[in-house]
Amino acid sequence: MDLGGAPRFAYRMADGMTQGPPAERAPLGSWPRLYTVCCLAAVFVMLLLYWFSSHYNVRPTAN
Amino acid sequence: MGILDWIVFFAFIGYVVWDGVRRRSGAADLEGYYAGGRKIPWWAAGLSIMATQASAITVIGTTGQGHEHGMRFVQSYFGLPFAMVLLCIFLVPLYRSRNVLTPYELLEDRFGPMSRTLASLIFLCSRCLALGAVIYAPSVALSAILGIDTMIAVFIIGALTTTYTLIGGVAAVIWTDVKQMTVILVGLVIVFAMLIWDLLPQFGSFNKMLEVAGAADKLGALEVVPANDGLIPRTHAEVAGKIGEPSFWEQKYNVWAGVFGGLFLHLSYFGCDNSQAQRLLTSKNESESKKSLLLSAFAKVPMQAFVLLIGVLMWLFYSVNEQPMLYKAEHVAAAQSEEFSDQIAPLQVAFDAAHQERKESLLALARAEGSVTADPAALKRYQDAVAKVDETRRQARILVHDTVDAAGKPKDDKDTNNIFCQFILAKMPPLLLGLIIAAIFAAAMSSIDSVLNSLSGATVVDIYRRWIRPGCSDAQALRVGKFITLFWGVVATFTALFFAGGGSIIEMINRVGSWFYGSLLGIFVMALFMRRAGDLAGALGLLGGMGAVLLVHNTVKVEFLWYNVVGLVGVVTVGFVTSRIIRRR
Repeated sequence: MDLGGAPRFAYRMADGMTQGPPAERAPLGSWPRLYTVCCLAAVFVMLLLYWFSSHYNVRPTAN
Repeated sequence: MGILDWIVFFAFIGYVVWDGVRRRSGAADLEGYYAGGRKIPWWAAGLSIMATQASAITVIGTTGQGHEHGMRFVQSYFGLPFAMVLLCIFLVPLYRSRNVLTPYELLEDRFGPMSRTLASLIFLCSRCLALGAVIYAPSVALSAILGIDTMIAVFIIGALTTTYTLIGGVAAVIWTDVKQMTVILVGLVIVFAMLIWDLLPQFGSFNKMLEVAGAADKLGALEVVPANDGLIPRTHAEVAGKIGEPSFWEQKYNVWAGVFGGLFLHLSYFGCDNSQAQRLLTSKNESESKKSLLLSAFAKVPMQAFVLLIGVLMWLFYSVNEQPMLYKAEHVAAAQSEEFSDQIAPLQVAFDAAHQERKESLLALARAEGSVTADPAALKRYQDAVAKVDETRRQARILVHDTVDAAGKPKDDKDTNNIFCQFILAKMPPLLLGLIIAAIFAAAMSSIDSVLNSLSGATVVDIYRRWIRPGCSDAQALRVGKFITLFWGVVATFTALFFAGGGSIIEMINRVGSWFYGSLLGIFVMALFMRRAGDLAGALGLLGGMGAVLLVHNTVKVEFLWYNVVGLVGVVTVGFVTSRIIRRR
C-alpha cells in the first residue's frame, strides 16, 4: 500500500490528462455545452425569481 | 386518521420495506452493498440524491419556513446548480478514476492514511451529529398525527429504515428513494392543488393570491441589495451589546450569500459528504454519475421555490380561516394548564383581534380593483395587522416555553416544523391525509437510509478494513458492515430520542454540516490543485480548517453558510504553508 501519496492522479484529472476508457456521448452533444445550458438555466430561474419578487413583494413600510 | 388513511399509509410503508429487503440478492458482496454493483441507472441515482437531500425536512421544515418567513429561503439554493457543474468537471472524474467505495479512499492515494482517516472521521462526526435531527423531524409529525409519544415514533421510523438498509444495502436505499421521491412530489402537488382549490373562491385568481401574500413580504424570493452591507464582522460582545450595525456576514438570505456561500455548502455536501458522494460511485460510468448530479442542478431550485410557495399559500389559508395561536402540542397543553391559563387568556384575545383585523384588511385588499399598493392606508393597515399577529404568536410561545437563554433573555421556542402537520391534520380529506403522511414518512426514510449506509461504508472501508482488520476478506467486511449499519441505526434512533430541537430543523442540519463541510471540501481542493502537498500537509490542513471555523465561530458573528468558505480557506492555507515548510526542510 502506498502511504506516501505517490500516484498523483488527482491533479492529472484537473489537468484533463487522464487516459481513461472512452466516455459515453454527453447529452446535447458535449459536456461543456450541457454545463453551459445548466448554468444558463440557473441564471434564468434566478432572473425569473427576481422578476417575481420585484413584481409581487412589498416590503413593510416603516412606522 | 380514518381507516382509508391507515390502509394507504401502511400499504406504502409495507411496500417500501419489502422493496428494500428484496434487494438483498444484489448486496451479496462489498461492492454490491456499498456501490450497488455499479449498475444503478443515472436517473435513479439522481432521484436518490434529491430524495436524500429532500428528507422530511423539505416537507415539514421548508413549508414551515414559507409560512413564517416567505420565500427568501430559496436563495440558499442558488449556488447549487453551479456547484453541480463544478463537481462534474473536477470531482466526478476523480471519483470514477478508481473503483473506490468511499471518496476518502482516494485521499490515501493522493496524500496518505492520515488525511484519509481524518476526512472520514470528520464525515462520521458531522453526520452523526445531524442524524438525530433527521429522525426527530418526522417523528414529531407522526406523534402529532397519531397521538403517540414522540419516542415511540422515533423507534418506529428508526427500526423500519434500519431493517431494509441493513438487508438491502445501497441498492435498497436508492430504489426505495426513487419511490419515496415520487410519493413526496405527488403529496406536495396534492397539497398545492388543495390550497389553490380552497383559496380561489375568496381571492378570485391566483394572481391576486400572490399580490396579497407579496404585500405581507412573503414573496421576497431574491434580494439583490443586502439589508446590511458592512464588510467588517462584529464580535459576539458587540452583537450582545448591540454596538455597531450588523455586517453583511450576519445576513442569511440574500442572493450573494446564496450564490457564493451556498456554492461552497453544496460543493461540500454533494461532493464530499459520503451520504451524497456515494451515489456518484454507484452508476456504471463517469457519464452516468454526471447526469445523476445534473438532474438536481436543473430541478432543485424550482422544486424548493415550489415547496416554499406551498408554505406561503398555507399562510394565506390561515389568514382567511381560523388559525391556532400555538401549533406545538406541548405549547397548547402548557397554555391550557393552570400555570399559564390566566396569562395566555389576554394574549388569545389580542391574537383573535389581530387575526380578525388581518383577515378583514387582507380581504379588502383582495377585493380592491387594481394593485394592492394603490391604497397606501389599506396596505399599511394590513401590514400592521400581519406584524401584530406574528408578534402575539411570538409572545405566546415565549410565555408557555418559559425558558431563558444563556444571556437571561426569554427564549422563543419556534414552531416552524409543526405548522404543516397541523395543517394537513385539520384540512386534508380522508385518503389524501394517509398519502401525505406516507410522503412525510417517505421523506424521512429516504434521508435516514442514505446516511446509515454511508456511515456504515465509511466505518468499514476507511476505519475497520484500513486499521482494525486490514487483511479481512470481502465476506468478513460485509458481515461487519451489516452489523455496523445496525449499530448506526441504533445510534441514530437514540440520538433522536434525546434530540429536542426548536427552531427550524432544516437550518439546524445545514448549520451542523457547515461546521465540517468546508474542511472536507478543502482537502479535495488540495488533492486536485496542490501537487506537492503530502499526508502531513493534508492532515494538518484538515485540522486547520476545523480550527478556523471554531475560531470564527467563537470570535465574530458570521452566518453558518460562510463557515464552509472559512473551513475551505483554513484547510488550503494551512495545507499550503505546511507543504512549503516541509519542502524547505
